[in-house]
Amino acid sequence: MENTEPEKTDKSHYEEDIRTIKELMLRTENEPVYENWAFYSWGLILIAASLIHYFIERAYHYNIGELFLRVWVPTIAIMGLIETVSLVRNLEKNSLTIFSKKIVRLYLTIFGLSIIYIFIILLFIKLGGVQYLPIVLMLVAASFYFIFAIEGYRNAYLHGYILLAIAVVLYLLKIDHRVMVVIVGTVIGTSTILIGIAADINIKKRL
Amino acid sequence: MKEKLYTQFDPVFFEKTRLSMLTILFSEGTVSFNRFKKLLGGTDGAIYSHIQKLVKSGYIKQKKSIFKEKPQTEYTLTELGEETFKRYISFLESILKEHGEGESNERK
Repeated sequence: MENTEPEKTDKSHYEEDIRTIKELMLRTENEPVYENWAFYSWGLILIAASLIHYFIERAYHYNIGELFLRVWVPTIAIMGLIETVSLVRNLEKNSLTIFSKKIVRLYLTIFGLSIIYIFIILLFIKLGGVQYLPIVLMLVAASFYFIFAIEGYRNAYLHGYILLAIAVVLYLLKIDHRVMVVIVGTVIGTSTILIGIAADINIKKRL
Repeated sequence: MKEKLYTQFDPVFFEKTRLSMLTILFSEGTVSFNRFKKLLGGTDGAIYSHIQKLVKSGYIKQKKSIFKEKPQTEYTLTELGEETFKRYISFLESILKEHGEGESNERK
C-alpha cells in the first residue's frame, strides 16, 4: 500500500512538506478563541458598569467595598458567562477540544494572573490606595490584551500599549478617582469593542 | 546523503494528509476526529483510514470522550510520534541548509 506513495528524494518534496507544516501551524495559531460578539458585549458591559459605578457612588455615597459588591461582582459574573458561552460555541464551531494546547495554555495563564491581580487589588484597597485603583485596572486590562495578542488577536498589542500610555497620563494628571473610573471603563470598553471589530475584519479578509 | 537520511523515517510518515495530521496534533495537543475533518477536508472514511495507519504505527493514540453528551474520539501524539515529528523537522532544516550551502558554493 505504501509503495503507491511518491518517493521524496528531491528538494521540492521537502519544500512542499515545509509549506504544509507552516500553513497548518499558522492556520491553527491564528484561529480565534472566542466568537467576536463576546468582545462587543464585554466592551458595552464595561462602559455601562463604569457609568453605573459613577452614578451610584454620587447618589448613595457607597464605599469602594460596597460598589465592588453591587456593581463589579455582577459585572464580572456576566462577563464570565459571556466568555464561557462564546468559548463553548467556538469550540463546537471549530471542533476543538477543551484540552487542546491553546485552550489549556490560555486558561492556565488567565487563572494564574487573575489570582495575582485579585491579591494586588485587595492589597491596594487595604493600604488605602483606592485613588490609584482605576490605573491598576487599566494595567490589568493591558496585560490581558497582550495575552489575547499572543493568542491570535494581533491588534490587541496596539490597544495594550495605548492603555499603558493612558495609564501613565492618568497618573500624571492626578484626576479624581471617581471620574477616573468612568474614563478607565470607557477606554477599556471601547478598545475591547475595537479588538472585536479588528477580529471581524480579519475573518472577512480570510474568507 | 539525502537517501540515507530519508530511510531513517517510516514511510507512513511521508504522506501529505498524515504529515498534516501530525502537524495539527503537534500544534494543538489533543484533536477530535471532526477537527481533523474540518482542517483537512475529505471523507470520514479517508480520514479514518489515515488515522488508523498512524495509530497502528504507534505515532498517535486515541481516547474516547464525551462532549455535550455525545461520544467523540480524541487523538494525541505518542512519545514516538512527537520525537519522530521533531526529528523530521530537524531533518527538513538540515536538508534545506545543506541545499542552501550547495547553491551558495555553486555561485562562488
